[in-house]
Amino acid sequence: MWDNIALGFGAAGTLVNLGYALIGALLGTLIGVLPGLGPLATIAILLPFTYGLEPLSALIMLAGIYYGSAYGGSTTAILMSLPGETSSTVTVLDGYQMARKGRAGVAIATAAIGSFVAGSFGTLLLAAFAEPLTRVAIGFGPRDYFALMTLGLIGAVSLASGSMLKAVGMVVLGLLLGLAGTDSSTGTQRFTLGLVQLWDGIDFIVLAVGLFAFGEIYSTLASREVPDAKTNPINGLWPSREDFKRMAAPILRGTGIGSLLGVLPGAGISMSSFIAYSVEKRVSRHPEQFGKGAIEGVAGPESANNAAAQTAFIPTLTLGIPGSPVMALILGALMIHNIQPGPNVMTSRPELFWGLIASMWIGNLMLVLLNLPLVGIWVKLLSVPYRLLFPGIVMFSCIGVYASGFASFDLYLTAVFGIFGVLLKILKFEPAPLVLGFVLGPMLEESFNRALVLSDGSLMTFINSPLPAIMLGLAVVLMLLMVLPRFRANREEMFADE
Amino acid sequence: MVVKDIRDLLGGGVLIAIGVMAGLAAKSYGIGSPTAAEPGFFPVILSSLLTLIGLGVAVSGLDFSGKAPKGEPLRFDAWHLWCLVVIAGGFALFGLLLPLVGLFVSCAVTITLVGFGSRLLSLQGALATAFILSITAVVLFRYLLDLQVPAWPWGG
Repeated sequence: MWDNIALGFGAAGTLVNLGYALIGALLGTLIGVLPGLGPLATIAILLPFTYGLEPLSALIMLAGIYYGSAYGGSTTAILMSLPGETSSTVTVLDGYQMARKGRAGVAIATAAIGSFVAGSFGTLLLAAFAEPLTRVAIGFGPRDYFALMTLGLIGAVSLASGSMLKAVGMVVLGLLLGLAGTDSSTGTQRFTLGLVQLWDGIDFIVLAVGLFAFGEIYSTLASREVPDAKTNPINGLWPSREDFKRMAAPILRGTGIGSLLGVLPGAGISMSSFIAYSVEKRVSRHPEQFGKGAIEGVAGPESANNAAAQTAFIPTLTLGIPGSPVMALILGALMIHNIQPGPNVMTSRPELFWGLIASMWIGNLMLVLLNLPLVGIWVKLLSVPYRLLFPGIVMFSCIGVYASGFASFDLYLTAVFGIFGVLLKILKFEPAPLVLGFVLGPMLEESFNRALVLSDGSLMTFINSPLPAIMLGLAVVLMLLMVLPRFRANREEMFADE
Repeated sequence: MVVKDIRDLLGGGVLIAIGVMAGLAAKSYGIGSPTAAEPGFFPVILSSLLTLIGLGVAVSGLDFSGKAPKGEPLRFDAWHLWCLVVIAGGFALFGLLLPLVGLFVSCAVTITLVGFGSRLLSLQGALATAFILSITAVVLFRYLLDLQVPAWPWGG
């Protein structure tokens, strides 16, 4: 493991890659702080511009955006009671109260320190588990893979908020969309509507920009509430000795909770911060301070969501199964560079795999060392009005889509998917599961067909061997749990705060 | 029987429609058999599943006991439609213009229309923003990143 980590630091530690890690972390923080632009939309918009980069540099930058935005999101949660993402919703509870008491700087520093400790631990876990998991996964046959992907997809939607049935519908629709284009084994054109431009299938960037970037612009414009910034002042970043004493245990507990939950697909990240918060409140000797500016209420959840963000890479990188939409975008980035995600990445491109892992740790360090002192500047950027920001977002999205295929058709298709995404939102469907399905569609079909060929066409092949039977059984249990009224009530309660 | 949530009814309908159409298309690709699956085999399974889910979603939007409270109505007014037209139009227009008149003009036209259309910017404000952003785009993408698109109407 240590050899591999050394290899990773060698690959990620080049000046160029350090530069991309820094750009990613800074960009991520920026969009985390700016209202009306989230990590999903940003990564979707920037994906096409990573074509020209080395695959590792591209991944390092995109991953930097991902954790940088989490950091920026908690900053606005603390300063303005505006969580950038669901994962920092809990941070508002005590972080904002600390800010109102003039301890905004300490709260931000606590979040950053907790995130760094948790991120380091998560990275270490990722490094430790990657090899054994990959070794298991390489022995998987098509039926095991089919079962694993099914479990991954069901797991991802069962933990997300909203109606389970609708989410599964979106996954299936995404799987179908993923099959559009020329069938690789027979050359048949499927779902191309007679359009030559669709022979190569639907471009991942078109779908991602249409559903996420277009959708975000629309939501902000249509809500008539252009985000407005009013912040608490920051003074004194450095926590006192007493603060350090109080944050130590919550950081460790949060790291543990987050690391465990992050591996689960779906809402693992936001759920981990909710759970960490309730754990802290339960074990605290002063539960009455929670909600009034308790430092534990910032340290625990912030560590938990960062640990989870880190361990979420485990299934994505080792098995090729994305647990969240951001992870689906990261896999999309791999595919853009003609790298088939899955257990083979680690053996065929070890420098890529370990380099990304090392860069996450480096990026986390950069966030603490470089970004923490800069937080005042970021906050100034909050005063950039949205009316000046959004023409830029539209322009970058357009140029990005065009650059991905140099075809006007791609922009028309983006508009179509954008409108479709808005329709989905109006009807209360989440577009995120659709993207998960889209990424896995072709692989799911291939493993399904191959498994059937190997078993002489018997569907029993999926249940008469222990491994696929257990995984498919788990998927069914998850589905049933979601339908049972009692569990559903609990789940709704959990997401009620969001 | 009353409609509890019009969203579910409509959304289920959309899924059923897509499922049926995709299923019919998939059937025409040839289904084959489990041992010799043809290109339509897996898509037919997915389409059937989608249709069933659509039915389920649609039914969940209905209330047969007549006791459930009616869900909130759909919110989609003229302003929402306008926003949709402006953004979708912006993307489509950009795609149409870029190969014809180059990066600078297509950025300038798109941003002016989208900025003014959104009513967040005045006409002058939109023009100024468009000018600055278009210059930025040309310098950044054409000259610094060397993106292979024409910058000006006469090429370059």
